[in-house]
Amino acid sequence: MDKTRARRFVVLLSAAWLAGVAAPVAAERIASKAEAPAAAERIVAKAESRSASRATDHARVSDAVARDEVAGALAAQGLTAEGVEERLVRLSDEDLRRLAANLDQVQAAGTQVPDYIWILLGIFLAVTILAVIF
Amino acid sequence: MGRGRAAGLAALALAVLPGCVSLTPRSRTPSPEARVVHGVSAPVFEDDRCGPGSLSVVLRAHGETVSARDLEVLLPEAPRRGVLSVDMLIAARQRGFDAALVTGTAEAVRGELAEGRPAILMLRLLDAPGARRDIYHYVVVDGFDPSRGLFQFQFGDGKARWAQLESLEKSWKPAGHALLVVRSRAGTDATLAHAVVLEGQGRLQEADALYRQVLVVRPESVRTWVNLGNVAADQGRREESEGAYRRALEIAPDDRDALNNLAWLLLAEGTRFEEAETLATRAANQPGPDQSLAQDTLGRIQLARGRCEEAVRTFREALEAAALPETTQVGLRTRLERARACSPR
Repeated sequence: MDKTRARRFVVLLSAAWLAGVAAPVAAERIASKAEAPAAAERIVAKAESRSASRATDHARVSDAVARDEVAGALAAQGLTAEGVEERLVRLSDEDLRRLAANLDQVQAAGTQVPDYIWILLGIFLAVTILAVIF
Repeated sequence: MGRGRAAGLAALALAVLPGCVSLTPRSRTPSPEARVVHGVSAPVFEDDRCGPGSLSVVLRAHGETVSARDLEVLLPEAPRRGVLSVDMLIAARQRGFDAALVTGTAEAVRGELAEGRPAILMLRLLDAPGARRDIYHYVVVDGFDPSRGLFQFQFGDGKARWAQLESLEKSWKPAGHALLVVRSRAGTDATLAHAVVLEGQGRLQEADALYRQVLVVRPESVRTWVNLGNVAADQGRREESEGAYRRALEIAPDDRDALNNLAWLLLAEGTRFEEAETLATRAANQPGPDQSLAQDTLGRIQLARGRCEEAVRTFREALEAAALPETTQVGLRTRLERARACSPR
């Protein structure tokens, strides 16, 4: 290797080294981890404690809007203000967002179909049969 | 009544009634490939208490010994009768399970059943005239027939019915396609741990899918959001990665992993050094494991911004940490030398 080539190699090496210093090279990321089993309880507890103080956290506008919408849907089910609040503090922000995006899901299920519906159905069917016959 | 009027009424009845009342679907014959979740029998929900009834069926499938009567304490009757969907969600969690009320799809239902987990659908059975008089009902879905596209439903009348999900669409849609998924916490922990292993093996898409599964029932899991951000970053989905880290920080503003990895992402992007430094400083100031990694990120940002003396100090502090892996030590020393040699801007 002659002197000129050796000098050029040193210059290129220095340039590469300096570029390495100046350029925003990727740092070492903290690797993914699996949670300890107890973390699930921590998550729920944290969600609940945060929910409890959520009333004062109006900076998070979208969460506040979601909360109000779900509160309205719960109140429409006949719950008292205490009943509504009791539910809200047990739901996470993500629960509230999901429900606010689909308020049809806020319903009570388990009531029986009233008898009058079956009676009406019977009457209409009878009329239909009579109409067909006569 | 004249024949014309009677016929008109009959036509009206036929047109309106089917739109108001949804009857249980006619059961079809499943193929030999049909699979039913173990532990679920055809239940009878007494007095139409389908809330406690359906939840007890699902919890029993997870090995929990609980009756519908046991759950009635957790599932108070709503003022207009019935059990609120949110109370079902809360009760499942109170019994020690991960649970979520989501907007369901056939794919989501299949996914739950494939993992041996029955789920609960809320259906509207009656669209009654007047506000708030509609009738809703919880049903358990506990089997799937891939060959014929059938699902097995338990309406609580002691009869299991195989039907296509589409046959319930008229009832499911008005209930917002409400799907209550319930999973054991140990199962969710195992899914998360498995995803981390897959990520380590470079099976990023599979890991990504599992992290998303975990987030369905643990949407506030900071760890899972950070991991999802890592996988997205490795797949070159920078914006998605940033979104995941930011979601983790919304939930836990001081989480070091989220702070560091978002800083790392911004540093790699090369344009938002100021925010990157703020995040990295917060991460590096927290003592504990991985502090040296956060200090390393901070030092690199300081170096990239031409603040060489600060970078020297940061790298020195990082090297003071006990029990650093050899590779980390070598990297830190190299960068310390670079910081010493660099010219301040």
